[in-house]
Amino acid sequence: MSGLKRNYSKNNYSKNINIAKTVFIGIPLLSIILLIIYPTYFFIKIMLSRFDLSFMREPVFIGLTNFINIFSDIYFWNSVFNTFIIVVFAVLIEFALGLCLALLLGKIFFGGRIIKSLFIIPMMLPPIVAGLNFKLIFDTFGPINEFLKIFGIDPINWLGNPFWARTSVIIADVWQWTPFIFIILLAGLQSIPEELNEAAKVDGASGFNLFRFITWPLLVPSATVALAIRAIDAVKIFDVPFLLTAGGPGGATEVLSLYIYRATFRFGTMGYGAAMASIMLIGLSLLAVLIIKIINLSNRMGWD
Amino acid sequence: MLRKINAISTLKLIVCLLFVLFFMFPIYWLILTSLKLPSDITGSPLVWFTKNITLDNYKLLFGYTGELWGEQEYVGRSFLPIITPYLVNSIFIGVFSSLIALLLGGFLAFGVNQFNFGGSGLYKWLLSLRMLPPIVVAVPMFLIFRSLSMINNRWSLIIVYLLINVPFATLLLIGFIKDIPKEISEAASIEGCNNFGIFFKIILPLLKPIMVAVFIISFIMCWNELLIANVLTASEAAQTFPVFTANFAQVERGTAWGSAAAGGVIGSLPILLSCMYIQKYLVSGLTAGTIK
Repeated sequence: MSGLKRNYSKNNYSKNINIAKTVFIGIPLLSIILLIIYPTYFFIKIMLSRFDLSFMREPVFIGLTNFINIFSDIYFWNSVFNTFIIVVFAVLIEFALGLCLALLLGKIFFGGRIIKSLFIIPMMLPPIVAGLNFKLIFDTFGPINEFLKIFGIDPINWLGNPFWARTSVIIADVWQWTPFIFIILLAGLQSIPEELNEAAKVDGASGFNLFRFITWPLLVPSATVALAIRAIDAVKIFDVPFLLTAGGPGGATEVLSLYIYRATFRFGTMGYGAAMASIMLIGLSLLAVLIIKIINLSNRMGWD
Repeated sequence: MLRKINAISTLKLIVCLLFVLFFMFPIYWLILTSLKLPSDITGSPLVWFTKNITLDNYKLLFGYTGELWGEQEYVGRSFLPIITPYLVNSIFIGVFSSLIALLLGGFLAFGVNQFNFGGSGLYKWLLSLRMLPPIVVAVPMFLIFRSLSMINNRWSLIIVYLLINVPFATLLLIGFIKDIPKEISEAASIEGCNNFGIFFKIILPLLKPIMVAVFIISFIMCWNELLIANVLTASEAAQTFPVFTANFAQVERGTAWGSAAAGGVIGSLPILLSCMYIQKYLVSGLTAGTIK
């Protein structure tokens, strides 16, 4: 009985709660905050300073000069443009293919499970391995050019021509991340009750109408989430261009992360790099806010 | 009618097969390249299938010093790095960062649920941390660890990855802990169990499979990450598998393409197997915090 008494005497009880709160909330939250506050302080200090690692020991405060310089930096805007093109095309193609696949494999048929497991393999590979894969495949003497030769098409210089290099990066991204959209849409598709489809069929809906008025409205919430996560992740693309083209040829595949990486760690202009990184962060946050707005909107339009 | 259905399912099958070809071919090519003889990799015409399978590309990667491809010496052999220390670094960093993240994330998720702490503000904050671009993390972290002379140290990578993994683990676990009926922990506390008892004796055993899934997904994030690892490391004392692959494949090394492919296969295998193991939780893991 004494044990019960100890636990329920008021002082000890609230003391226990306080210890528990410290351990369960205080420690983890404090460690995250520590991991953020100190770097944030450094980050802000650096982006307002000139700090060239090659010849400076201490950062020198220069105010907003870094930000003013960014506006006239054509390489920066080039990388913004490249990122934009790659993200838009890659994510749209991924979504179209992922939707196709999900609709094709939505109903379990013979062998469907195995095919599904096969399809999600690319997503599970390290991105750097995806880059390696396509480095081997897009080789001038590689399998793709050999295949095109059958149709009488001249070898394409995949990684040496600006247009084709950008296309290669997009293809590699599509290859790796279509499965991501596919499995999220598939999960959404399989949560639609079968009775709804049956009822619609009884009412005479079929084929496209069934998709347009039943499947699609119910799929919108998963579709927006898949698109949102994919779009935000795609903006951060780094590994594939880093290995496949190293930003070339002539800066055609130099994406934002790659350019900031180079400016900061190859040329050593830490202050300027930090300023660009902060602009990237602001851009991504705006994108995220926009996407959350769209998700809320689509949830309201969705089926309740 | 029957004819139409047959035509449609044939079309479906063809489209499916095209997709299989698109998704599987690069993997086939990687594995094939890793098993080819050097003369088959660079030779013309292209070798689509090979009977001359060799494991020498893998042997070279692990620092085998004997005869390879029937030759004792070949150009450039001494430049080729051995993959073992990089794999050890990857495993060390992944295991420690994921374990700490699991502990901290589990604590926070439990605390948030038990004491109704934070609410949607905390939730959104954690979610926003998840989308932090690696380059934004890399810039200040590089300067901080440089001033602490902790560049090229495994522990600096472990600490930085916590910033990504703790929010992720918390977000995923909050959802699952919420699904455990409150009555269970209430019953336990009436029986005289304090919050630590509830967490370690009740919540943890109930969440075991999800904990494993969180651990594996965090581990994969650490294993795959290239940018921050590349910035914070300089040699094989701390460099991880992606850095190894990037360095290996970026420079044209002639005959070493087979070994680069072999490295890719070796680095993918643990990820692939663990993903297959947790396939059930993959969707909730990938969308942690966005789908309720």
